[in-house]
Parts: sequence; C-alpha cells; structure tokens
Amino acid sequence: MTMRTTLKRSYYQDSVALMGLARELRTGAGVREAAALMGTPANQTLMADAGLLTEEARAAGPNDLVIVVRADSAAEADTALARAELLLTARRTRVEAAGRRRPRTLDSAVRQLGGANLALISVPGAFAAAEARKALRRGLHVMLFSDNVTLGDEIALKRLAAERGLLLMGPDCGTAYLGGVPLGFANAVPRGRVGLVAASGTGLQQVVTLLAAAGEGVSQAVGVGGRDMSEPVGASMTLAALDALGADPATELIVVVGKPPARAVRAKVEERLHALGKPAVAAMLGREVAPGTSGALTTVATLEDAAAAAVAGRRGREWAPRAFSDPAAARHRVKAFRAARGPAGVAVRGLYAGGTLAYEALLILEPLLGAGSVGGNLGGHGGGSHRVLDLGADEFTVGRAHPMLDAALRIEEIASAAKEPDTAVLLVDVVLGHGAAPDPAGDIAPALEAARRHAQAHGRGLAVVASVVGTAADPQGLAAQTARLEAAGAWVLPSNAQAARAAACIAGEPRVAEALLSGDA
Amino acid sequence: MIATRLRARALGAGLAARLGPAPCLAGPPRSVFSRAINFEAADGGLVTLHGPGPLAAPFAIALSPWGDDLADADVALDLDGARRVDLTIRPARHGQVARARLGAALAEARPARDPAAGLSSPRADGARAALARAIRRRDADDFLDAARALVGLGEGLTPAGDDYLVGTLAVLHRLASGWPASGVTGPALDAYAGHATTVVGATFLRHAIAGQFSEPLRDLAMAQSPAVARAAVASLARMGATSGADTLAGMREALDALGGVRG
Repeated sequence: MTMRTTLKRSYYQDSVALMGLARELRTGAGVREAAALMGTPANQTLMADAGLLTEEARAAGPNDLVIVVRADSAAEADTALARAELLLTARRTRVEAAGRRRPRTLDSAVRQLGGANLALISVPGAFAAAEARKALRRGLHVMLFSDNVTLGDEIALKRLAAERGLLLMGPDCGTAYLGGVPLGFANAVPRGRVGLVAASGTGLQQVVTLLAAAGEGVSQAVGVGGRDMSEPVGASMTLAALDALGADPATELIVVVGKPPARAVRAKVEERLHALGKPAVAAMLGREVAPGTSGALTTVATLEDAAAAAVAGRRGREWAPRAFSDPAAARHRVKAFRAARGPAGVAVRGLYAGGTLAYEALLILEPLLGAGSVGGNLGGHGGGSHRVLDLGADEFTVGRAHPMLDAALRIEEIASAAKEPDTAVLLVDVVLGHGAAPDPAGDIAPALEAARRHAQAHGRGLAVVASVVGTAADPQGLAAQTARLEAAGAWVLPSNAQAARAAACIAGEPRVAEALLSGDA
Repeated sequence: MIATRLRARALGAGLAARLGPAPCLAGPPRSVFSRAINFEAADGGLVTLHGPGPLAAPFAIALSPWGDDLADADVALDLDGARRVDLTIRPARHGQVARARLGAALAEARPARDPAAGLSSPRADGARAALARAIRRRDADDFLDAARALVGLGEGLTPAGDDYLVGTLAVLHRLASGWPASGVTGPALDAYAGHATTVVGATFLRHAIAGQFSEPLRDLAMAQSPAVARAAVASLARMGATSGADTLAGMREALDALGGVRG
C-alpha cells in the first residue's frame, strides 16, 4: 500500500468540486481511499481518522488544498494524482496555458481570442439576457445555454440578433455542433454533409447519433431553444439558421427537429425549406403531423425516421418508415415478454431523462394504446393506466440536478413503478455524450434489476425496454452502455421510437403487436 | 495600472463604514469564482464582489452590472447611491413567535444539495452532538470546545463546519440574545478560527460572532412573515456549492437544541 500527496498552496475549490474530485479518485484502479480537503487542523484530523494524514498533509496550512491518495501500488497512486491534476485544471479559475489569465469579462475574452465570433453563455437565468445582449452588441453569435430567460427577453434578443445578422441560439439551448465543435450536451459524431436546426436538445442528439450509426456526419447543427417555433417567437432563429445552412456549401441536406410547433409557424418553416432548394427532412413532432414527401421536403413523424430519411436522401435511395429494424427478433422478444407479464400487467411506465424523447414516446404510445390512456406530465390527453414522465421537466428538477446528470430521481421512480401491480413495461432512455453522466446506464441498472426481481417475487414478469442515444466514440461508449442495460435484463432497441413501439406491443392489446410486427401499423 | 471603476448596488452597513466613501481594491484578487471575487481591502480584511442580488456575505458588495466592466485590474468602487443593508441579526422581542416561524420555514427548506460530506463524518457527528448538548445546557465552555472541533472541518473554501457554525450563531443571536458569542466565547472562537480555517471561513465566523450575516440568512432569521421566511430559505439554499445546505443544517440543529418548534 502506498500513499501519495499533492499540496496546492492558496488554492481554492468549492465543496462540491472537492467532493466530486475525491469521489472520482476513489474509482481509480487500485485506489483504496482518497481525500481532497483544505488543510485546516480539523480536516487534518479527518485525514488522520481515515489513515491519510501524510507528512505533507500535516504540513499544510488552512488555505492550502491537500489531496491524498492511498493505493495498492505507487504507480496507481501516481496515476490517481495525475488524474486529480487534470480534473483540477479543468475547473480551476485561472488558466495558465499560454501565459494567459482566465478572462473574467466578455471584453477581456474577446481581447484574448482575436477573431472569436461566438459566445456560449451559461449563467443564471436572471443575468443571461443581459450577457447575451452584450455579446450580440459586440457582433458575436450567441449560444444561450441558460434557461429561465423570459419570453419577452427571448423575443427582444432574437430581434436584436436578426437586426445584426447574428444567431441567438436558445435560451435553454443544450446542444449544438458548429464548425465541427460539439457544444453543450453533445455526442461524438463525425463531420459530414447533413445540417440540422433543432428546437430540441435530446431530439437533435437522437438524430445525429442515428446518422452517425449509418455513416453520415454533421456539417453544422444549430440549436434554437425549445420556444423558437412557438407562435410568439415565430421561428425567427429557425429561419435564420435555415438561411445559414442554405448558404453553407458543406451542407447538402437539411434536417429540422422540433416539438410541437404552432401550425402557422410550421407552415412558415416548411415554406422556407422549400425555398432553399436543398433536400430537407422535417421532424416537427406533433399529433397533427402527416408524414409524406412534397418536392424536396420529406415530413416524418419520428426522430428515427428523420435520420433514416436523411440517410436515404443523401444516398439517393427510396425510403419508407418501418416499425422495427429487426422484426423477427422483435416478434420473439414480444412473445416472451407477453407470456411472462401476467394478467394484471397491462401498463407502460415511461421514465425519461430526455424531454423530446419522452414526448416522442407519448406520441407513439397514444394511438397504439388507446386515446386518453396515457397520462404523465407532458400534456398527454389521458390519465389512464399508462404513464410517460419527462423527469427533466422543471417540476422535477427544482433543487436537484437534471436526470441526465443525476439518476437519483429516476431510481426512485423505477422502484415506485415496479411496486405498482399493473406495470408491465418500464420504458427508459439513456443519453450519452459529452456533458452527460459518466455511466448513465450503470447508474440505473441496479434499480432496473431490483425492479424486475421485485415483480418476479410477486409473481409477475416486468419488461424493461430501453434505448441508448449515443455513439461508439462517446466517452461512455455505446456498446458498453448497451451491454450494461442488457445485463440488467433490459431489451435495448436501436431508437426511442422502436422502444416505445416495443413497449406498446408488450403491454397493449394483442392486435397492436400483430399490426406492428406484421408491418401494418 | 488604471483601476476599473465599478458601481455598487448594495453593501452591508458595517462594510460601508469600514471602507469609507471611495475605496480601491488592489489586485490581484485573493480568490476568483465564476460568480464572486474575493479581494483583500486596504485594512487587510476581505471584501467579496458579486453580481446583483442578495448580499452573499456581510463583507460582500453587490455590483451592477456584474462582469461587464470588470477587467483584470485594480478596482475602484463607486458607493454613491448604493443601498446600505443592516445585516445584523437582533434578538427577537417575542421569542416563541420567532421560534415557531423559523421552525416552520426550516422545515420547508429544500436545499439544492445535501450538506457537504465532511459534516457527516464521525468526527463531525460527535462535534455536532456536543454543540447541541452545550446549547441545551447553556454551557459556554463546552460550546467553545465543540465549535472548535467544527471550525475548518470539511470541504470547500468556506469549510462546511464554518457554514454550520454560522447557521448556529444566527439562531443563537436571534433566539438566545447572542449567547454565548456575546461573552468571552466569541473572542476565543474568533482567535481560534483565525489560524484554524481558511481566510474566507474565518471572516464569515468573525462577522457571525459579531451578529453580522449574509442578507438571506439575516432575512430568514428576522422574517416577520412566513412568505418572507420562505423566500429567504430558498435564497439561502442556493448559496455557494453546499454552503446554503450546511448553514441550514446548523440552524436546524441549533433550533432543536433550543427546544424550538419544528413544523
């Protein structure tokens, strides 16, 4: 056993950062214990209690940060400390790279980085509009990650951006790919020829990951914020982004993703897509969407169809929607789950981290399971036995992190749903990529296993149906995350749309499965 | 170097008196965070600059606007027109009413995070229990021993134990006439904190011993209506990384030890 210490004089990090650092270090290979604390006498006693008070830690002062690692070998301890240094570097407030100090203002940032043309703003909502206004006035495009920006501010900011020929992406814009750089919650996808405009973060992630799986990449992907296609905002940035993609020689096909746009606004967006003259796919999810093709524009009903239609469009192939990519395998799994579910098991419980994915599931389940039979928090028409919850919605995230980062709420909901005797299917999504939790599948897998065991102990079968939004190049790894869910007994489908249909096949009337699996639905 | 001129929107009345009419803060800052910067003032004391909003410390200045003109330079502060906020927590005239109101507000508190891990260690558990025992028995010596064990304990720039003690002292200033900080315990604890915790932690404690607190904490302790108390709790719960949660934990346990009403 070896102990190693790093001492950083007059170095400050907040408590959450230090707890997170210690937690990270404890997961390292061969690491038995780790501490990251200010070197106060009280903390030295804590380190002593944990057998971590080295000579260096003992010599620390109250304003020094002490990191101590105990590991099986010297090499493992050194590796852990090197990792600590990396993690601290990512967070620390003064960047020493290139001899520069971290800018504290927009002006000093612009001075340091000549030629910058985009500001990513992530500050509390009350300050966000003012910061965005400053950036626009300095001639910068803005990605406004912050939420809690008023509708009035959004409209005014977008008007200002339009006057200056700039993009105001957001507010609450979680994902974008600009010039090959992923911003916010973004999957690792290749560069390519498909340009996207999205009023939906996880919707965009689903489409670009499915494109990547089919070998297609992204030229640019512009997030516009969930309200952009609403009546009051009038899709002002969607239209501006479409114009930009229309003029971008690297973009050969355009995809628009949103939910649920006002009818008049949707017409405006479709009109612009026609006018651009490039092949285009519109996935503006809603109950009134009529899939079909008109000129160069293909309208689809699901995110998976958006990706499939775009791939077909790029390759000059015919395309038609399909319920399952492997109907034979689906038939086999559905049969087995239906046989096991027991007579009381008739309900789908959708427990989602991704808002658009939840909404898409609702749109798919409603017609299959019966009008008014799906409740939840998404404005579903019904309060029936089925339920789809967007656990990232504001009412669930007050005072806690988003479920893409912290699985605690979803774990509670899984346990609760498993205890309801009519639950036949737990329908879940797992979203990977930069910014998401390091092991989202691993976070919920034990709860899923426990849910299945609980149901089994009460004489019923419980199906876990899942989809993973991710790519092989994501930090979490698509294959590893899928395998983790499968090890927990989940049936993992290639898309959220297929997962929702699979859930309907298991829990719904026999005719639902018959129709979907024979390709008639 | 030419100092950047910043307009203050609000500051504590005590800090205003300390700084004088047109103070200048020489760079570099002592510590820099995304939403706050700590400078050392000419008198050697700490001054925190942050954006518009409730004063996050009794030694804080809320600026308007925040960040726009704040360059990497010395800072000259324009205090003209800045709101002077009395951040003192004073003893309640009707103790039972204040106790019930505070208890109800704390019962509803839902901090964004759990208190820091250091507050859940066996050593912290023992110190918290000893502190509660000392409050129940009104034993100033035991209070000081237990408080010393908490000073500088746990994670963060303001270690969790310091935040916890600040919450405890806020309740005691309101409901126990400042006991025991108003006696010899206060200077003794202040002297100990001066070398046993971070500069920021020690500064918070020094002010808390003197009855000076952040604006949300002052608002919560002094709240005259449940609505004000609820708003203050929400504001306090958002402070720092775990500071709000740690402070609320100290308040709860002090209230319990005083025999307060919990909703």
